[in-house]
Amino acid sequence: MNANALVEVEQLGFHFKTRSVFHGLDLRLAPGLTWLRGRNGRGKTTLLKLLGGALAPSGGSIRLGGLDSRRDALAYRGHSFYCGGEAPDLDWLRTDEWLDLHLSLYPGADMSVLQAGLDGFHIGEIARQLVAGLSLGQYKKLQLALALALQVRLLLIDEPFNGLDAQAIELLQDALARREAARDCCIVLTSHLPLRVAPTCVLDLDGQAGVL
Amino acid sequence: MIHAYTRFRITLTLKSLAQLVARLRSSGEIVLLALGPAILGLLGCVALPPMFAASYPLFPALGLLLLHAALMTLPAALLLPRLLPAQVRAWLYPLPVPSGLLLRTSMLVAGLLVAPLALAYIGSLAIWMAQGQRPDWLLPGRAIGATLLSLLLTWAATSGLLYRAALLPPAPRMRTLQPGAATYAPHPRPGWPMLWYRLFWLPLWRRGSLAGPRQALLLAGTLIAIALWMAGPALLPKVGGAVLASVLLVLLVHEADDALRTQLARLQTATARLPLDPRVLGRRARLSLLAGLALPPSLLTVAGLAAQAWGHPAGRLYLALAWSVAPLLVMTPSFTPRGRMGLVAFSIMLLCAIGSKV
Repeated sequence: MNANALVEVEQLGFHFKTRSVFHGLDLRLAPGLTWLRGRNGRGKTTLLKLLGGALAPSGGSIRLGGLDSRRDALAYRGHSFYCGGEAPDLDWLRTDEWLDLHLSLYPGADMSVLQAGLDGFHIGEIARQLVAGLSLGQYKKLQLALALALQVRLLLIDEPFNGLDAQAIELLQDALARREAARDCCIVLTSHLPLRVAPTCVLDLDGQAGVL
Repeated sequence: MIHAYTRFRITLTLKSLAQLVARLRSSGEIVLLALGPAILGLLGCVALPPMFAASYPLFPALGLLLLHAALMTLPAALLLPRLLPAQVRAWLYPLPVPSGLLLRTSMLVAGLLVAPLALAYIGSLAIWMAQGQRPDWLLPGRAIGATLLSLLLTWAATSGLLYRAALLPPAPRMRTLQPGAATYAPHPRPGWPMLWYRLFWLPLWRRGSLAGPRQALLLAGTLIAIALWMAGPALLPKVGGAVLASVLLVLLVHEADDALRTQLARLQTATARLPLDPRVLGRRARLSLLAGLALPPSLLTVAGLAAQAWGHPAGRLYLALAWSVAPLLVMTPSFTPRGRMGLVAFSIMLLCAIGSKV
């Protein structure tokens, strides 16, 4: 438990049609890097989506700096960004259109960080390519370059190292280390691979009360 | 015993056709209801071209039959991306399928596609042959032979198309890359026009979507039909113009509304994680669609004023209904598909009935 918690989850409940995932889950997440761990099927991605406002809890509450994920849904989602999913859901857009759309919905993004991310990931020249035509790694890099540039308070990154080349993994680890040191937002990251950067907090769903 | 590859291709074809039928079902039902007798009449005449070709000497007749078979193969050629989707071709292509099996499978699948045409030919031939007074040019033996030859040519051409499609490697995925790699220059433009363009306009035209071209064709057809109706050329009876304009107007609204509802459903997952209110998004998208759909009634109003069509009560009633169709269909919440089809069919019949009095 953390006194300067940015994200407060209280008595969270969530059920799929076929099974229950969370019941009475309590969490406090502080600014910095939280490494979310757990076996396959424990609900890591589901928890990230719940924290990002993409899924609605069936019980309990999630608050981000006082904003309730259900009551203040739009403001909540404006301050959080979920970076995950391997298939683009806006697959008719070109890469530049996809980026522009997100930048217009999340004002105040750091354009120099975005450009550095695109260049560093070597995806600076795919602007006119459809996101549906990108490889798994390219799409992941695109999402990460955007995510790291956004001025959000809660950044949710699902399995960022899957499909990335060695150089991109290095770049991402460096960027995460900088953000962890700055403690300017709460980053929740899932990964089955060990992190080079020391996380602020490790949250293991295998031993967490409230995880079914 | 059917080979597993052949069985798969048959299942794939039947599923693709079922999907297509489901996609066109509501529009098809409307067209059948409104233009049923005309379509039955057209079906009765489906074997007319080969029968007529048979009345010519051998070589011109063969040329006409080849042309007719090519035209009859066109639907299969247009449906090819659905019958053998690119993502299926991508993993089907490397399979070690002998060319003989590929050819037999293609012929069998082509047979499935051509079977409804064969039934239509049988019906059409029966109608023409059973007539007490046949036209002079109709020579029964040659007409039947020519129709059969046209059908066989269509089957062979369709088989060839399917065989070639299964034999060739799929087009590379990276064809979406525009000429010359381009660096990203940010142009984030907040506001509704940008959102509408990216979330509702672009999907109509990209990734093989036919919704945009279909709506463009329907819009052009509706505007031309309205202009023709109001201009009243000697070749087109006034009632014909009214019926054509009414049917196209309602089909345009139905098609555009259907595409919007589909896109809103498609956006649900994406918008759930973005700072976008789906209810506000839906409301604004509907209002934007209504603004676009005001074009045909606007032309109708202006052209009708010029043609002095709105002087009578029937004319004014038609105009009011023409303006009401889009708000009625777009703002009505989704209910059962059949209920929606009923509403669309009722709108068509009402407009046709009143339009014929204008």
